Amino acid sequence: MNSKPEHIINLEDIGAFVQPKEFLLNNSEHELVAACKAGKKVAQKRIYELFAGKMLNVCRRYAKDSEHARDLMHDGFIKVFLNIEKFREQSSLQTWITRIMINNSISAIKKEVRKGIKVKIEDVQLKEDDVVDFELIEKQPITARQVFEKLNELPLGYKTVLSLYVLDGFTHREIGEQLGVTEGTSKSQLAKAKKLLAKILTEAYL
Amino acid sequence: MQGKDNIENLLRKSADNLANEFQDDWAVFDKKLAQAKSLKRLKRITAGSAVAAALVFLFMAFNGYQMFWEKDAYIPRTQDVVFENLFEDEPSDFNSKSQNRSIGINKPHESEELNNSSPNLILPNTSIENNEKKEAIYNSEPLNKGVEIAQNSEENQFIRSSSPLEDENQGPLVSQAEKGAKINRELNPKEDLIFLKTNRGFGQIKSGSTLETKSNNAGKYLNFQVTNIGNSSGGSEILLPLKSPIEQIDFSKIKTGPYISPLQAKNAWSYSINMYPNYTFRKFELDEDKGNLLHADFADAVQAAESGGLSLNLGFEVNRRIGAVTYFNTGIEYISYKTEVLYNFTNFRDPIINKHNGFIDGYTLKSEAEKVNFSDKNIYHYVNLPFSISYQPWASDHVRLNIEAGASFLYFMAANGQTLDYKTLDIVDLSERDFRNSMGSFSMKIGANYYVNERINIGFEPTLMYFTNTIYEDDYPFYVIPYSVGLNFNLQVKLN
Repeated sequence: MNSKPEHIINLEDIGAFVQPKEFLLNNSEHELVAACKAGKKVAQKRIYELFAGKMLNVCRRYAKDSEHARDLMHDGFIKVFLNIEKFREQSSLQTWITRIMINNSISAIKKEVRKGIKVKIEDVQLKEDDVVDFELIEKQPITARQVFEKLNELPLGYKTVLSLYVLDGFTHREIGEQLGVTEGTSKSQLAKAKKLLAKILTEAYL
Repeated sequence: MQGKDNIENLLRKSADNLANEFQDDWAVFDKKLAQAKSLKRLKRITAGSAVAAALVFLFMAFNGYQMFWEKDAYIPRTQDVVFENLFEDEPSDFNSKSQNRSIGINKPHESEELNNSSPNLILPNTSIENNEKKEAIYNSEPLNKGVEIAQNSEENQFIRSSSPLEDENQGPLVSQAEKGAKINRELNPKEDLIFLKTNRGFGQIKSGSTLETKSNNAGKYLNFQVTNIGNSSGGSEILLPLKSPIEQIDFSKIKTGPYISPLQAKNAWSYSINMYPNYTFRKFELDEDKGNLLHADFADAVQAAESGGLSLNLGFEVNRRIGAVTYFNTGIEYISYKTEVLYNFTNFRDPIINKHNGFIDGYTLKSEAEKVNFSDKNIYHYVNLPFSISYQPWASDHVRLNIEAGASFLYFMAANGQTLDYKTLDIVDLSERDFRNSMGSFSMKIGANYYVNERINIGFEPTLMYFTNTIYEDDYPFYVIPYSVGLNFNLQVKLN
């Protein structure tokens, strides 16, 4: 009989010899959050590794450039880790983090938007010939990065409304509440933003 | 419609593709996280300290601690100390006669006896003189037994100051040593209780201040008055005037006044030259009502485009001591605010400016978008007239904590540097712009000073300033957030 005595605990059985990252890879989101709440750095790192790419993508929509986007993402993750205690797991962790990223990005630009002032002054007078038939663009090889570079060239109000509506799925009412503008303003900003982006893309790549 | 839908689809597809383009930067983020945690902790500590400081301040204020503006602000309060049994029989005319006596501190080792009728009242370092020219008020022997001024006692070692601590109006300051001073008392169960009212803490002995004894029979007082602070050839010695021979009262156990560093300015007035590099943070914000004065492309860039800058300020300062550790400060300073502007944005439209009111009515798209890159240092020069009260609640021999609050008047002198015109985006020189001539501000500093010696000290003072107005004229589409946070590294050289 080579079996171990019952009172001897095999450390491997409880994961003590497993590298932290691997250990966490096998854990559920709940366990990951619990470890993070307990201040475990490995858990924080794992969460960061899991979601940083997606969140950078979220922040990129609201940032001036990629550096700014990275700063926004870092700020967002700092808020995540400083407030992880408040996460009650009523939604998925990704949803919660995404929400924080969007809120953080919007509050960063809200100062600039300032109760609609930024949107109001975006009253660009587009001429009729500024409306572009965008069918043509699809025939050209445009990379995702190029699209976002041009998106970043849009005035802040346009870019924000376009991102919130198209990419983050906000309704015009929600956008209005977030930015402090009316639903109508949001709709008109969206229409103008699409036109302007189409024009910029067309001029740049066609 | 088709085109719009294509744009939406293109954006969504691009977003999905970009999500995979991420380089791990955990190390960078981890540093930021650690800083954020430290900052959060610091905020908590600062908030806790501020609350504690406020509570202490309130406690001191409510407890009658005189700090500001009172004539005798730094004359320490008195405290009843029980002197038992100094008198076997109380003088019968305690109330009816003026009982004022004077205690003068003479040169060391100069003893004298009060009078013939008080053979045991020995005044080695001090003398007790009756205001009525040695009229025999105390004839009772118990008093003579009870009151004795020590000479060459060990207590005297504590109450020496190395230099004259003179104040033409308010007498000298004395140092921490006074806290070690002791008074002896004599026990005699047959005698009545006598209360001695002494200086609490001995922060200062003022010529003319009163040391008072009181019988436990109501209304019986015996007042002693400090009339002279003796000077010896080797410098002044300030001696506590009272010592009875038998039982000691440890004054260090009595609530004391503020600690007076030996390096603290001795004169009521002091003059100094101040130099301090100052790092200023300032923040722009759009004025909501003036959006039509600002080019929309520029608005995107300008708010994040200014960073704080380091400048060197120079001033002549006058300080007036108004309390033991409280000063009124004023003077004149040259100060400058240096900021660095860095604009980097795309200008893809031209403003349509209304010729009548100068407002931007709308925009036309440029045929080709321009990339605008512009940077320069902007310096604003002022003459500042500050008025402040500083309070130094804690000190050691060389380090002193300083809390200062006040107001100042800033007179605008000039501005150097270039920036972009907020409407046309042309490069303009700041000297061509119109600014208001003056600004008001309230300021608060909390910092510490290291005293190298009596004349030179080095300070570190985080400073918060709140401006009552900006220097910008009404047609400027921003307002500067009306506060600035500065980190002052102060070098002060006393001139007197």
